Amino acid sequence: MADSRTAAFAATPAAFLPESRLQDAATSLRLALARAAEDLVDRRVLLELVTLASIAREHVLILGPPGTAKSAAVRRIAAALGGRYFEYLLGRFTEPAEIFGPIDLRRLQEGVFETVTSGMLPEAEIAFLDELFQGSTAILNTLLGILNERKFRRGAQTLDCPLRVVVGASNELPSDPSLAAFADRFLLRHFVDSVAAPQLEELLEVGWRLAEENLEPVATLEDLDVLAVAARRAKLDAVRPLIAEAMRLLRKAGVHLSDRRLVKSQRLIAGAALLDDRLEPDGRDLWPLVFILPDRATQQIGADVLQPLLAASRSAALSAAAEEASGALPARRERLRQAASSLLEKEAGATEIEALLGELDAEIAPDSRGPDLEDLRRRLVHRLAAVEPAPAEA
Amino acid sequence: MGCAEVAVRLARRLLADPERSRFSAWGAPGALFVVGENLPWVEGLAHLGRDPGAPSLFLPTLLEPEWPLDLLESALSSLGVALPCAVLPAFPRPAGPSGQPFLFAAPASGRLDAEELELWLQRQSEAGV
Repeated sequence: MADSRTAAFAATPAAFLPESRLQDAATSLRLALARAAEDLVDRRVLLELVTLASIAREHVLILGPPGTAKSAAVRRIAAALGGRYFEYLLGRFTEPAEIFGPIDLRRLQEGVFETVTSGMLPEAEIAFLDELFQGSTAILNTLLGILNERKFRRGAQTLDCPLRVVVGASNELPSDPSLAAFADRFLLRHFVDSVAAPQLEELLEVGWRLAEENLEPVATLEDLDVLAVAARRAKLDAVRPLIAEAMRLLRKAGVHLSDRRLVKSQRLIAGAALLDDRLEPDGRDLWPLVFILPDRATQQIGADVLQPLLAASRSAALSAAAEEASGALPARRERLRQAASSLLEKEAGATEIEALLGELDAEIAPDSRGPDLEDLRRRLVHRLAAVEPAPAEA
Repeated sequence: MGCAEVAVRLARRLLADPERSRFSAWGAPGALFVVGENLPWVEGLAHLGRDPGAPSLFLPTLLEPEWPLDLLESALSSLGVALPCAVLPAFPRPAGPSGQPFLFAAPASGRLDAEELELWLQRQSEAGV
């Protein structure tokens, strides 16, 4: 069931993957992210985390109220990557057959218990499960095998799953300890809220367009797989002492992470570097550590405690997530640089330009802008003067 | 918030905006304070924001406070300063000492409508701003 090319990549040491292939894959994935984010408001971080998790072969748990475009975001990134997509809303009475497939009655008559998995989760490449913790014990137990080992086990049947990432969603974190243990399988945690008041007009416009648009693939799962192999074999010598220091700082602040989450975080850090065309991660790539902290309050504490280590955070590919995690000046500068370039390219109107200039001036002091951002700012000011001349003096 | 000639440019920008009623503006000699969403932009503005711990204080977004904000808010209130107010650490004033902490109280009443904004502009012009 697994793609044969995926198996081939998995067997290929990163040393034999030409750097140009890695760069091409990273470029395609950046384009896919940009395309998927175009028609969503305030969901860029979510898209970036799903992409990063896919490379690290981990999973994402999104927490937030219903109707906040969680499934729309995952659907869009799946479409942009061309992956086989499966989505389901779990309830207390959801049967395993609704997720994994019905029993094969013909085989049952032969005395063999098998599941028909065609079109169901075991054959999906990207999956979204809403109200994840509503699932029954039978569903969650089977899901554990899929999440941990990419294997579907039911009865005597064991199938390899081509799954790259599962995105789970829930209104809130479970308080039941057994469900908390299941939730621990989702390495990345992201908290979403309804769109803020200043962006409501944009939400209405984009939501209207989104209802009519189908997104064509921009990248491929092969691009994901290429970076996943490279992430598994990345050189982390330079960054391991920093990760260990981060853990010590967190423990000192009373934040404890399991050894499993700590070890797995390395692939996220490697993935962040690879998406930025760097084979070796460094201090710029530590920011994913914030997103592996279990709840909102702990993520805030973690971001504060780790501030000295995260000060260099920067990511061109995952700019929104890097900035949200670190609040670091380089990350903020990168996000605003990309936003300014985008506005200048698309010949935006006065309202959009004013909004971005206001944001830029509010967030970055003049002596911290750097030459690139300074130049983009100057061009935005000229563009604003051209589209909306200054009011006449009285 | 705008001060001196920036405030004058801000006032002219507001007067040219047909939807200016979505903003609230307060004026003082050499200063104009505007609150709202999707604010207008002119070169040289001081951008202010609020901390959840002290929601009555508008503070410069580019500076980090040295004092606990909730205590500052409480102290200002007990001193009789009308809240909400903007707090700027240094404010170049057309006359008088510069570099002094500046408090700009935005009273509940006294918002500038177009006519009052024109009047404010005229006063700045007379003061040589």
